[in-house]
Amino acid sequence: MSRPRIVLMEDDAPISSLVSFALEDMGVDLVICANVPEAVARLKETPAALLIMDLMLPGESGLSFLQRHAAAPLFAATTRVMVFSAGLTQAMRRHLEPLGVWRMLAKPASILTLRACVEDALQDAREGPTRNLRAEPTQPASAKARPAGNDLFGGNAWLVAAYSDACLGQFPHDVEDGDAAATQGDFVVLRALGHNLKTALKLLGHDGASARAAALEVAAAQRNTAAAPALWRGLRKDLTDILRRHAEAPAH
Amino acid sequence: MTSFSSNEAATKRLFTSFEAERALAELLQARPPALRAPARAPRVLLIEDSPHIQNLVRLLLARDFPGVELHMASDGDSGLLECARLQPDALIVDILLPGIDGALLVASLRTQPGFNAERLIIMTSLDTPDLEPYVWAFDGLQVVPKRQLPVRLSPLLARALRRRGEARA
Repeated sequence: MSRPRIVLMEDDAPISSLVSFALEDMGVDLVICANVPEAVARLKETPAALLIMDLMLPGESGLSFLQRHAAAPLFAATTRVMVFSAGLTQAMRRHLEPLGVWRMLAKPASILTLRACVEDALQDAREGPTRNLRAEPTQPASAKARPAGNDLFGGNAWLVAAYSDACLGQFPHDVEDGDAAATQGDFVVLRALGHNLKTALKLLGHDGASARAAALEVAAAQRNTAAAPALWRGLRKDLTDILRRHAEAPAH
Repeated sequence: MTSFSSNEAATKRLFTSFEAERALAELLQARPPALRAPARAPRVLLIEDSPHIQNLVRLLLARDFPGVELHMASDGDSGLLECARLQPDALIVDILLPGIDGALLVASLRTQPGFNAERLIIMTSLDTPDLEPYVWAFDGLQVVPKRQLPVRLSPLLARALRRRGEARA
């Protein structure tokens, strides 16, 4: 079996050497390119599992390259894109999110973190189709309502159903805890609820509710007295809607 | 519920960590070597405060490891003590925990004789930038995003428990 191919788009030679060193025992075929045209040529030549790319490059920037790719694909949809840059400001992250970026890693990063990201990308590639961020907002509404049994659960219908039941048993307690925390202004509890629910809801395929839980986690961490209670109310409605739909569904 | 850092909270966590470490060392010393590895069912300790993830891990173990004993601790301090008491064959540890966090917990475990990285699985819902402050503690360990647990936990656990079998053979 051929080694997974990783294309690194980076013009800074010491950083390229460091990445090469970090990945040398991971059984990957690392191709280093110093600019956009070279990387596009190599990505077209042989599809890669992962593209690790800087944003500040000679000639065309990484952002411009991703914008062009979003408009008309320049490489295979199965290639995960990881932006590895010192320029990942919040504003830049907002620009990148809709452009199909799988992960963003700020420089400087430890070798361990870089290796963990690459391992995740290779694992994702083995598991199936690309899950770049771009895929999420374009999902049809029906897909969002569908249990995530064919992807995050590896297609195991029993596990999906059993986990769904367990969550339905826990959600009323979450609602109770969240109501008490919102009344008392307990941001620690609200943050923990957001943190825990974002994963549970994501696993169940409720991506919108998961995103709201993640936003609650951030707002509560910032002790945002306006946003956190409002986000809790939204998340509370998500949970009660899920419980109501389940109660109304015909029994099997 | 998960605790989050402030100077006061961090100091308290460290202090609590020392107390827990001392209790752990005393427990290890008090236990005769012959009793450390009795013939028994494999034992897994999950240190996680989220009931949703506790449920998920419980289901995965029931499906894939029916003969394995699953024990749970909902905060870092009791997790450390349970680890000393139970001598689990594999540990599954969350990073954000009430009491000492997963990073301090693992750092404490590393100081214990017989520490074996291969029996430890770290899991997290943190995204990469938020994970950065904790990675110092996880060198050489498997760190699994929680959304990947349904497909990744069982293979990792099988490997950890296989190492246990090899160590005892």
